[in-house]
Amino acid sequence: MRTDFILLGTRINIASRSRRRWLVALVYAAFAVLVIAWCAFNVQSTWNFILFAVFILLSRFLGGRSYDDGLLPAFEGGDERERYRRYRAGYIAYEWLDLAFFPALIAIAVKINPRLVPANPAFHIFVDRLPYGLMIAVGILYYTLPQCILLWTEPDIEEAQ
Amino acid sequence: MRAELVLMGRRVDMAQRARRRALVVGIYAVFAVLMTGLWFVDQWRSTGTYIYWAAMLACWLFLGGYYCGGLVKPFTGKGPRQSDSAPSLLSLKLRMYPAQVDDDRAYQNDERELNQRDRAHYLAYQAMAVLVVAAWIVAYMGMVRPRWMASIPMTPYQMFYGITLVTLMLIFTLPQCILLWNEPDMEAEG
Repeated sequence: MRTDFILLGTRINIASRSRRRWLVALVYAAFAVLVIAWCAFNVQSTWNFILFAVFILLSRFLGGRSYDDGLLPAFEGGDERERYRRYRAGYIAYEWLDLAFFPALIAIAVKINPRLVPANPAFHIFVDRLPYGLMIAVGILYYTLPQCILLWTEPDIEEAQ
Repeated sequence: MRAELVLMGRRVDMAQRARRRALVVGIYAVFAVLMTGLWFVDQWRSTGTYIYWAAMLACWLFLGGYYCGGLVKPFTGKGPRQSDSAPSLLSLKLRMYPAQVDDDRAYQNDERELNQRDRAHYLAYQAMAVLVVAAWIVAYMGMVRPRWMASIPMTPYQMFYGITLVTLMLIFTLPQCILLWNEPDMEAEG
């Protein structure tokens, strides 16, 4: 795991766990804003492109999986300890994933049962878009959660002298 | 992992991998039939929740992992809560009596089992990518290009609901099935 990264020419140290946790919170705040905007602004193709571009950028920034130049090394390699930590992160992420799916499932169940939806047109638009928005959020969570769990749980790293 | 199941008062030997694999195939075949059948009942509108309860039942009776029953030990390593109340009517009808274990050691996972558990979840997590991508495609098509889906005899929401139901069913069953599928034959004690 990297202990720093460069943003706009400034070197930012993330060796301490608290800083990494702030970073994870910021990444998910950015994703939340994008998904809400995607749902709210009539999902024009510009927003699709922006959402997808930011998703790719932040995923590359986090690293892991097949990206080797992010904060985390690629998931393919690593020694036995790293592999076990990765498996452990997968286990924790799996438990969160099932919780994340329930709101999406409930939103779709409400949508396909018309008698559950009030007649208010504004609510209809909300119910139409909510399942898609939640599913996009679940997809983002699915892709980034193991990396964020590793960043969140790894203790403070001593920097090499 | 346990080497036998107790079903309807009978012990079923599951030490052989071939038997465990047959069980896994059987469970998913039942799920496939159930999903297809429920689609023809009411397009999963109100029967969709049965998939969820069927997954819970499969865990409780056969797979374990998220319950104390079944072949795989509880992932949390915790045994059932001790209760002085009588067993439920369903348990009595199915002749499934909770094992009287004095301590939680029978339910605790050793280090090897914990590693296997984590690896199985990791593999299951990777496999979920197929469904997440499918859901994304349906979300994109349904919201941005609804005309492209006009030729499919399901609405995007129904397709979406089906994908979500399958995903939830797999979330509750896939890690245990990976463990049951991969574990080699167990040698009989003694």
